[in-house]
Amino acid sequence: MQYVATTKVSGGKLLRVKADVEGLESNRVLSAVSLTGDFFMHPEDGVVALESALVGASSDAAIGEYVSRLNDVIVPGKFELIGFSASNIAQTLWNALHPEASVV
Amino acid sequence: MPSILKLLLYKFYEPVMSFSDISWRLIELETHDAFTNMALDEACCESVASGGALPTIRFYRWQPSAVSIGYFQSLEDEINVEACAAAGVDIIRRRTGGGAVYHDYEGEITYSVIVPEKMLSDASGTTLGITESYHEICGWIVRGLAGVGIEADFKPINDIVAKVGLPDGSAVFKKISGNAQTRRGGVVLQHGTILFNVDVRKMFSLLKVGKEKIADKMIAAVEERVTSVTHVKPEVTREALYDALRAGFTDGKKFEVGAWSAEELERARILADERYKTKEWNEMR
Repeated sequence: MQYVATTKVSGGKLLRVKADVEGLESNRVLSAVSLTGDFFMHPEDGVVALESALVGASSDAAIGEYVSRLNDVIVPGKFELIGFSASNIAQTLWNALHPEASVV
Repeated sequence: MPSILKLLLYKFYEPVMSFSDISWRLIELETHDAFTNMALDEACCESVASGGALPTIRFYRWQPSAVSIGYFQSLEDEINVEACAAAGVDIIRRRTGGGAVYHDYEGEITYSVIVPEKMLSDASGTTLGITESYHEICGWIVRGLAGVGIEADFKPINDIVAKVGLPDGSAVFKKISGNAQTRRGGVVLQHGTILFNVDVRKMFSLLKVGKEKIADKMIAAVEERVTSVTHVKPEVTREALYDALRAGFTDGKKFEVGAWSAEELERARILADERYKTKEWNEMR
């Protein structure tokens, strides 16, 4: 099943996260993640590393785990994110996976 | 100094340079289709990277009109493909990030600046970071707009806003230019558009913005944020705008009006056919 959420980062860019989830109820994991939007990242090819870093994570994980996985690959001087951050990605992913939490 | 000597100096000695020290090639305003325009940017990056061409400033228009999407955008999410086809508007993915842009043949002037990263430095020789280099190059646009009497300023991350007077004598700043940058192979490519006039309704018909956004109040909301040269200064012609931008980009620089080499044109033809016209590239996200 695919989950989608979009965030307009304050003072920044639009970020959309699509996450495919597979597995049993007790062990659901992210099988594919896509990051799209009008943000900037240098080098651009690095977005694949960000997406791959989230694959395999539990869909029930806390936001902090997603941030940690992303920060493992966002090596200072190697990748530069402009208009969004690892926290924005993690929060948007969590929002996608928990649509009920954003219902007012 | 002969061009070949300049190229040899630049390639082998790699001196710390300020913008006024660099010898630039200026490609005057020209018109191509979307695929050729983006392919020429990339071919030029390659030739500048190899030392085969001087750092380059180019101006261009798009015919047919086209929609470009940012490197990270989903074509399916952003573009109304059927509407583009019906309107004869090409669709292309850029190498740069940022958002979807409608490049109306009559409505804008586009520029590219292609320069080795090591030459993009401040007076102390420190290579400019991404934000600083946006600020520097966007300053050339601000200078150009001033040449047609438009007061404008750089607005981070990548926009330029122009001062628009209101009937009550106050003023607001609205977006008049969007810009995007990539750095690959040691070369910086920054390109962007300067809005000459804007047809928000047509732009929205080509993008997937939802029917609610096409409602008059949403169009009005965009017109609240975005402006164009003809809105601020109706008397300015496209020719006058181009002349002013050309002056703004070249002021204080050593430059020579140049042309694409045969190698660049052939490389651009290949890149257009093998990348920019392909579904694999344009629909990769």
